[in-house]
Amino acid sequence: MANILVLDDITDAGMLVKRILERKGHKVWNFTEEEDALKHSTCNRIDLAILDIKLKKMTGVEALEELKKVNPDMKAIMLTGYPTLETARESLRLGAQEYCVKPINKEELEAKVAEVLGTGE
Amino acid sequence: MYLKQLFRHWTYQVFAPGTLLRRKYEAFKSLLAHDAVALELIADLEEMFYGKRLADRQRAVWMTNRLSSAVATMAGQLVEMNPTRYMDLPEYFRKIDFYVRMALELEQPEVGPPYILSLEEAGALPKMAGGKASNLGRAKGLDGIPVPPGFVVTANAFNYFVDFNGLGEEIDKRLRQMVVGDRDLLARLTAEMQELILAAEVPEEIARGIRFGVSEIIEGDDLIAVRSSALAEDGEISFAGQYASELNVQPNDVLEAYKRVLAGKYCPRAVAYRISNGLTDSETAMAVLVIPMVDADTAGVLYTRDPDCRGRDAMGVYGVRGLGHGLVDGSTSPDKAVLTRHADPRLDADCTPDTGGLPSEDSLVRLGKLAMRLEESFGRPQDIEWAEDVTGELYILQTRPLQEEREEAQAAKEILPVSARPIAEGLERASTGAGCGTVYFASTGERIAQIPEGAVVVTPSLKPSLLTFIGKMNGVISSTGSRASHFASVARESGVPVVVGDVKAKLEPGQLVTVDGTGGAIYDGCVEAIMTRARDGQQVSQRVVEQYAKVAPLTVKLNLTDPQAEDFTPTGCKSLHDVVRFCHEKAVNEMFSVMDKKGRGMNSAKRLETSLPLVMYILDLGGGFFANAGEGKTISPQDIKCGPMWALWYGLSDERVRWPSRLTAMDWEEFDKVSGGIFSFDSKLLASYGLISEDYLHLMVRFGYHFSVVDAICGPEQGSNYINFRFKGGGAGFDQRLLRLEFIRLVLDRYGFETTTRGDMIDAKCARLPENDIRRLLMRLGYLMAVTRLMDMRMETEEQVDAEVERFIKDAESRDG
Repeated sequence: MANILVLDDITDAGMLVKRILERKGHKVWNFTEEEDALKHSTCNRIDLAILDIKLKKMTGVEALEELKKVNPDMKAIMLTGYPTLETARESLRLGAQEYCVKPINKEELEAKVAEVLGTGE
Repeated sequence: MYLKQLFRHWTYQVFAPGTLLRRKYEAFKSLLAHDAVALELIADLEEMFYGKRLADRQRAVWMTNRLSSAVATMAGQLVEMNPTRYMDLPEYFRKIDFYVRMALELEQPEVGPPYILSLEEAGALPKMAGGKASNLGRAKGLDGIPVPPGFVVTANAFNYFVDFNGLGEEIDKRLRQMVVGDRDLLARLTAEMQELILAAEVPEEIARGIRFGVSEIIEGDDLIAVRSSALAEDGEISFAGQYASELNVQPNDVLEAYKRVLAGKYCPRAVAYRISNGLTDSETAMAVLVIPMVDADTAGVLYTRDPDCRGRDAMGVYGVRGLGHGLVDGSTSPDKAVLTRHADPRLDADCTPDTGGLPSEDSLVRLGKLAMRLEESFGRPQDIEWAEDVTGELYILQTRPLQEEREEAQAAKEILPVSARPIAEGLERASTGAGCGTVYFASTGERIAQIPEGAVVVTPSLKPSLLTFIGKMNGVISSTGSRASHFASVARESGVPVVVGDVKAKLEPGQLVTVDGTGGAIYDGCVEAIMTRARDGQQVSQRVVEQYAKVAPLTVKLNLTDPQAEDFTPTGCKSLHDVVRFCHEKAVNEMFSVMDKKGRGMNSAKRLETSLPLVMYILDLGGGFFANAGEGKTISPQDIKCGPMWALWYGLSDERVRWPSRLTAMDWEEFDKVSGGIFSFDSKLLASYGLISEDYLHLMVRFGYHFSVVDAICGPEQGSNYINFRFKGGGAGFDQRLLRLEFIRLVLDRYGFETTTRGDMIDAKCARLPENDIRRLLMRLGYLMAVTRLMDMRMETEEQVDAEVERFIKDAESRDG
């Protein structure tokens, strides 16, 4: 089971993701503040980050870049309601595995996470 | 925006229900119109995605954009019809649409420097220098390989050239119109693109670099060679002879020669070849290699593994006097020497018939050594272009992976049936494999342009102009030329057998022959044992299909098959096709739910009482029912006054067609195999509907996984009469569906309909016929719809189709009797 970090500026959105993934047996930390997420990542192993693009101070793409500095092997899934080809291109370039567009349902999220963690059927 | 729409909707609902109905009906009509557009685009895209029709990727992008905008309109109109019920649909549509854009996004061409690279630098930079220049650069970097000095004008320079002259949009516009099978169109569009390039200006940054480069590699007025080195050239796909090279160029003409080589990227055969191999325009951006001309005494090619002698355990050297040009374009038969494959190769005298056009034995051995080094360094057999100048100096001008022959083409020689009679034997085997077809003499350019599908082409030489039509050839018999021609190289890649020998006197036009490229023979008739090996060679390049592997599931794939399934929702939509299906289904439901409500100025839709296992609702737009039809929720066929509906129903309910209310155990098994058992008789998958008036019929009939739409006017006004018919889909495998479709097409053709098929959809139309003729055609159409209901399940072979057509025509006429 994986250590998963969720960063979304809206608490409810993050909680929903957390609840779905915890039911699959993952350990999930949910953050709304970029600083808290980064601080957490410096002293904990992160297998997968699920990042919203529109955050409070930085963009999810910037957050990805920062997180990758500390955890180069970390996998990442971008999750956004405001998709653009630019942020998609940039995220994939910075090493994100998936760029997903909201609304996303439980099955899709579970499938994407399993795929990225290499535990899919 | 959305709130405004909602407010308007409620306001009309309360104060002006009639206006709301009209708006709804207009949205419905618009939705149906876009539904027709979307389904056509999906069928066209399917053909491209599954490799049935070859076209540029730009065309796929362009058509997908059109599909996307049609689907966006449908989603918008459905929300217009019922703002509260489908409010989340546009959100899901935008999501799918974004994934589609991501999957189809083409790489942005690099337009920044470097524009010029030395040949040495090119070795490590194939993505800028192209395959040919990069391979030569690598060879130059090896100790002791004699390669002339040279430089490369990069692919970035080409991209910048296009950008600088504003040609990008002009080129894309033409690429997206292109379809490989349409020769006239291809010829016109490529000519226009070439003109654009030739008329454009080489940006000064690039021009300066080229002039400087030339001054570095030659002295005074020495001549230069300006050669193509496209990005994907000379890699896994050879592109042999596809692109133009400029030889003997005066230093002052170098910029014009550069532009001519760039323009060569858009010659028809190169574009057709690129598309047939699943590559995009930018994946084949044109870098250009400039080297001095070698004053050649002899020149030619060397294959480090030549199958012609000693199996493949020997090197073959082919050469001619002077420049090697006549050799590779197939117009001259070369002299040939065979060398052993040792670090110190020896001449293999038994296999070397004639060395007149070749260098001395000493030079050949030196050449052989160089070739073995190149093969070792590149890690695979090489196809090497060489020249020896008047002073006896050897040069390597090009080296690329030798096109390996297809495995199936190398199959061991089979024992031929006794009846096979060879017309000729012992011919040179220029490309292995086998093919059977009718003899076609392609002696002139005009004759070449008319090569029929599946021909065995008899030609005086293996000229490159034949390359454009290689997809149509089952075999080639040439009087001159050799396996060392561009044509033979491409033929090997495509799996088309080629034999060389002067045998045309033994052949007659239209004669059926088998060309055995593996055995070097020609046989009378089709020799099955030999032909079997050729079949796989006809398939399209895997790359063509692979390039669309991501986008096909997001666009044309249909996942929402059952409207009663739980996931028949906006969330369940996974592709644009799903959204189309969802919108159409729900829009029709919306119209029917409108009709169910009474007192709004329209009669409500009524269920048709019938013994057929069909759930059909009929909505009268005026005059479609007899006045005494009553006010009930159902209607019987006898109540229908609508002329076209009556005629169609007469055929559809023909008592000779068995409509089991329950499928037999055998049928179920067959059915489950293709439907996965998700089908039930109560499912609305079976619901059909009709809109009728006295002389108008719009009928949509669903049978399981296929549907038919009939739209017709049948009245006394001959000029207004028409029938439009569409049939799409099916539950059986694609091939079986196509067999049924072929049956339908043949029948409708006989009846004088104009038909067009795309994917598993057929459209048929006829117009301006007298009322009686239209009526008779509608009866037959109805009968056809009944007969073909589950026909795809039992369609196995093409022979079956012809028999079924004859039977159908006979049966239909006896009924008319």
